[in-house]
Amino acid sequence: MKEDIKSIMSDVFMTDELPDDIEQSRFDKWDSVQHLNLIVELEQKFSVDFEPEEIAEMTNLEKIESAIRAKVA
Amino acid sequence: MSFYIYRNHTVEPLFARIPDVTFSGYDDISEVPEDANTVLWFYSYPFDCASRLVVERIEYYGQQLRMMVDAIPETSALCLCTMGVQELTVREDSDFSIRGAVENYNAGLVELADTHAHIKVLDVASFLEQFPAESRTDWKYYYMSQMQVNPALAGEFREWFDARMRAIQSKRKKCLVLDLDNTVWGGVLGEDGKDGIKLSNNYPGSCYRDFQKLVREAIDQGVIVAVCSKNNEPEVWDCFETHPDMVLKKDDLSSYRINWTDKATNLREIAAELNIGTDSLVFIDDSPQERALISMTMPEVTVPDYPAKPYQLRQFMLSVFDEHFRIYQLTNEDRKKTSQYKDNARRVSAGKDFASLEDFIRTLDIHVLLSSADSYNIPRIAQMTQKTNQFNLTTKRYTESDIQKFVDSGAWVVCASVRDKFGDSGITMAAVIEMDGQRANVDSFLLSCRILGRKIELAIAQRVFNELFDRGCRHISARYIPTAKNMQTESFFENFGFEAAPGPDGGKEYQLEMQEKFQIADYYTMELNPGERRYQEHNV
Repeated sequence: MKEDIKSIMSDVFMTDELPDDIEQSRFDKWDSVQHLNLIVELEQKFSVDFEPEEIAEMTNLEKIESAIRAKVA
Repeated sequence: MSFYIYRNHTVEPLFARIPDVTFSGYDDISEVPEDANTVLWFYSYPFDCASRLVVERIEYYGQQLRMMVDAIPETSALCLCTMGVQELTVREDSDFSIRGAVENYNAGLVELADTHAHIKVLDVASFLEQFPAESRTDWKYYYMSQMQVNPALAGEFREWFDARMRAIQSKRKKCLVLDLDNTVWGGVLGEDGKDGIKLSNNYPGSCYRDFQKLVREAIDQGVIVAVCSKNNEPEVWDCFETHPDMVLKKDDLSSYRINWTDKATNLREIAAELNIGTDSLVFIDDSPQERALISMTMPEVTVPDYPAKPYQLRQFMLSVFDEHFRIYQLTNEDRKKTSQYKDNARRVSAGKDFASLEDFIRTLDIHVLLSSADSYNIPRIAQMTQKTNQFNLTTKRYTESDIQKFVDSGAWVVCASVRDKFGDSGITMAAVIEMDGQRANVDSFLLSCRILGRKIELAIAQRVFNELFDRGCRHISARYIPTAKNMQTESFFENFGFEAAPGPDGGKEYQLEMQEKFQIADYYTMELNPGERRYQEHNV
């Protein structure tokens, strides 16, 4: 699943150079608009719906993964 | 290909894959792109809850557009997006005021496109109408980030939009070259005879008749039409003149080759006769062999596939027109035409619109309410320091208790809300200023992107400095700390005459000796509540 998420991130941020510990606060291309784009793509790809409160928390790869796992499980 | 997009809501996800795109502020026409390839005017139906506001706002959008059109260089293609109606108020639109406003708005776009060669209308409303009303907006995203178009439609939108843009960039064709048998009528004239061909008010003759009507319309739109067909010429003219259901007349044809010569030769002759390039021809023929011949020998000619069924002809003709004739680039002649039209348009617009952007802003009746920090607004101020990235001079993040400590230590912590005739932004600006007798230090200064534009950031800062002056401060220091996201504030303080010295990490240290108060643009009404005061929301 991590790889799926990263590949979506690559598409959204338009770069292949993603650090393994990618985090919104430390990754310039991950601004608030791109965050929205990313969430939209994730929701479609994994057929899930996130609440605004969850979306605000999904600020790094780990948190995104566990948020998705909690929904699909 | 660079884009500049004027918008009134969040549209970024719709354009996520376009690398070179710049967005205006929300509802902001103060910036004019000088060298954008394509400028897009993408204003959506306003989501106000009161019908009156919806109508007013749509009218305001139309005014904004007319202000903006004259400012955009004609070297940019300008695409105006149509607006669709969404029923979003509890009141019934029984007097059709909302519908009327949307129709007026869209008619205004068409009028602009008709009188300016570089302006096109992009029918976003009909794109959205393909989807059921309830799926056009995802309310979660609307309330989270002012997205009116459901981001789930982004993929389909991108495809649709790319196709339109390709059409805009491709060269406009000039001439439609038509075959006759089984193309503008059903059957073969030489075999079936004038009375036997299918051209009437009944199926399938009605399909050919409507096809001819659309060609006739295209001629009125400036398309040149020629005929290239293998027939006996006298029979053809007899049919044109005497068949009761022929819509096209011989006079409609700018050129014709009705003979048994190969069609490639004929097309070259037609182009030469009309004094246009063969790359301006669109060749319509039902015969796959003829089409293949032209495609292979004259690849510059556009050869659309002819539809298999007569009832598909109408849609076929519409799409041919849409793709090859409707949208086109500027030619020198168009430019001349445009400037003539423009002079007229200016004269007309001076009467019904505004002489300057200033006059226009004045009509918005913008009020800025500055309030010192108190228990009601401190949570919002702290939240803004946490969240604001772009218009933030120092990007210092503070908690509520940090802010409270500043207040307790005598610093002036101030925030502002902006209200205009459409509503209230809520608190969208904050500053933390340390005070020490005649000296003041701007620790933080930030604004939400939602209110940027119209030079409001300058006016607010000027008002803040003037207040410092009134409190006896003569010496103001400030700082710019660069981050990956706050480039736009890099030269903000220079606007006020601050002296800049290099600071750490590419930042700047500023000093200002204030001799007198700033003159603030008089189209803003500024109010300041210096003391403890309950902050009131001016919700409309």
